[in-house]
Amino acid sequence: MNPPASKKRGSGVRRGLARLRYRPLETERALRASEERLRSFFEESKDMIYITNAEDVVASINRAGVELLGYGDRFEVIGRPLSDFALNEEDRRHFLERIREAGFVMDYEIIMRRADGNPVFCLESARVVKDREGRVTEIQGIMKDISERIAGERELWKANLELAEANMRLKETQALMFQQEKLASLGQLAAGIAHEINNPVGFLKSNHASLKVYVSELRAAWTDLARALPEATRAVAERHDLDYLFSDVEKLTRESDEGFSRIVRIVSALKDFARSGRSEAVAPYDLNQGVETALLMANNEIKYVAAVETRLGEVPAFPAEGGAIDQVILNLLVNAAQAIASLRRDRLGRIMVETWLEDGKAVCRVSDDGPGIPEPVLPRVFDPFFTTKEPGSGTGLGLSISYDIIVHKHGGSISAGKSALGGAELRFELPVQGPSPSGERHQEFKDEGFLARINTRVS
Amino acid sequence: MNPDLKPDGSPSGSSPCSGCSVEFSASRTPPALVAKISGPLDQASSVCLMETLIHNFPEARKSGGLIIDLRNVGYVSSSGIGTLSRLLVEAELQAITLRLAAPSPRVAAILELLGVSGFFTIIPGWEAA
Repeated sequence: MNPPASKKRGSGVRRGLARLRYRPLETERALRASEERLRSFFEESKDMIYITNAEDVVASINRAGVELLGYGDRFEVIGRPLSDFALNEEDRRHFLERIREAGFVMDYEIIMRRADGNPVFCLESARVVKDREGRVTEIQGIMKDISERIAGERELWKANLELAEANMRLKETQALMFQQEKLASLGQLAAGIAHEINNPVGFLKSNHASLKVYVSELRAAWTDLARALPEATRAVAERHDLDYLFSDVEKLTRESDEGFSRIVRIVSALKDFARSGRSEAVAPYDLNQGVETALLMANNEIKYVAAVETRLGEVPAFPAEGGAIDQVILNLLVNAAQAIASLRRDRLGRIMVETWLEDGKAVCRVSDDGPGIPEPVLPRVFDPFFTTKEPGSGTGLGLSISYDIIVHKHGGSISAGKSALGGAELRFELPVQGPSPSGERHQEFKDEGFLARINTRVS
Repeated sequence: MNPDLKPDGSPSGSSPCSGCSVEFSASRTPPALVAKISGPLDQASSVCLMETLIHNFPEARKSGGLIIDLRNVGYVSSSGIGTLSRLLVEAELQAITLRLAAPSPRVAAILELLGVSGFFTIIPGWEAA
């Protein structure tokens, strides 16, 4: 019968002790060989192997570790806290907290700083050694240089991020093209309507002018008759209230004149809008006339929410795609009106439209007393699809298209900021010498520090 | 986990991930769902964090975007940066605006060192709804 395993082990230990007692030289050689193997393992390892004391001061480090840290001699490392070599001491402190708590740490990523200052990405595993009282006496760890792996991952992230960005831009461009197509169609529709209205309005106006003349003739004839036959005509005049009729006809005719003028202005604005949907020829453009046209077009959107003030300065006509500029002003006006409307006040808000000439540039500023544009979103207001309006109220393309028209088509600039009226201010500038190929977007930030802190995308 | 809704309808709630936690709230300026992360952003927490945030993308879309608030993140590993990058890719694919808020200088330095900070919109803070 075999003895129990423990007895077997016990007899093995006894035999080992006996060998120690009786064969000291052989044992010493075996120990030396074992120590040599361990030393070789420690020294020849391709990963950094280190031992620190409880305070993380390096007591021992192998050659790979000295090389990883970029030093020539291990004594430049021994005696210094390992945190001295971490790119960020906090990361090493975090590591020490974890290892003291758990007794070991596996696969902890840390960025070390080489002697030349360059970072080296490392993966570290370590354990603590404790004395009989449970006090930590040393930390034994292995650190692997994973810089190549990180570089590979970094390339992968960047490629994915660039791809996602490209995909997003493609979608935006497609939608923008679709929107521009739609605008062009709307423009064609507007042109068609303008043409259709123009014809009947033409003969209505002509008939109206003839009627005015005829009524005037009739009135003159009646006056002559009344002078010749005063007794006979008085009764007729009283019975038919001719004095009132003649004066009311005059009033109605005046009102009809105004109505016709409005129709003509609206048709003209429709024609202007029709031009804005497609690329048009550059021709002398009157900015103030553009403001008037846009105000007329936006009247229905504005009249219930805001009173409009205009301060239109002397601005010479300059070469531009007039319909497109009108569309920009229209966008700014409609945005202002919708922003004011979003406050749901029980009184009218204010919209101020100003134009002036400054340093060879025609400037147009649309200000409102709406809620304004929050500073954090200012950098994005000209991005396609960016909108702060309620869902369904805006496509987020109006300012993007305006940016395209002012900056890309006309070499001007457009900016957004806070208005003196307390709301938003949108301002664009156009070179009066005509479109130039370049332009720049300017955005106003009251807090320059904030701007500096924003990480803008580098393409 | 879906953020709970406060009585006023704004999101609120928290989700524990291994080693870190995510607390949801709403931002008024800029309008967005805020995911405030506390704890290390490393391999252990990355997978759970990714799942939790993607799960809340529909809520983020409704709120106007997603802000990942990093002010309480002290340690971030390459796995953490990889997770943030993947979240940004996913957000862009789903047309959700993703911003990082208030990263510590340490975290900002690692984003920079790994060459991805330029892809993120980083904001100093946000205003609670």
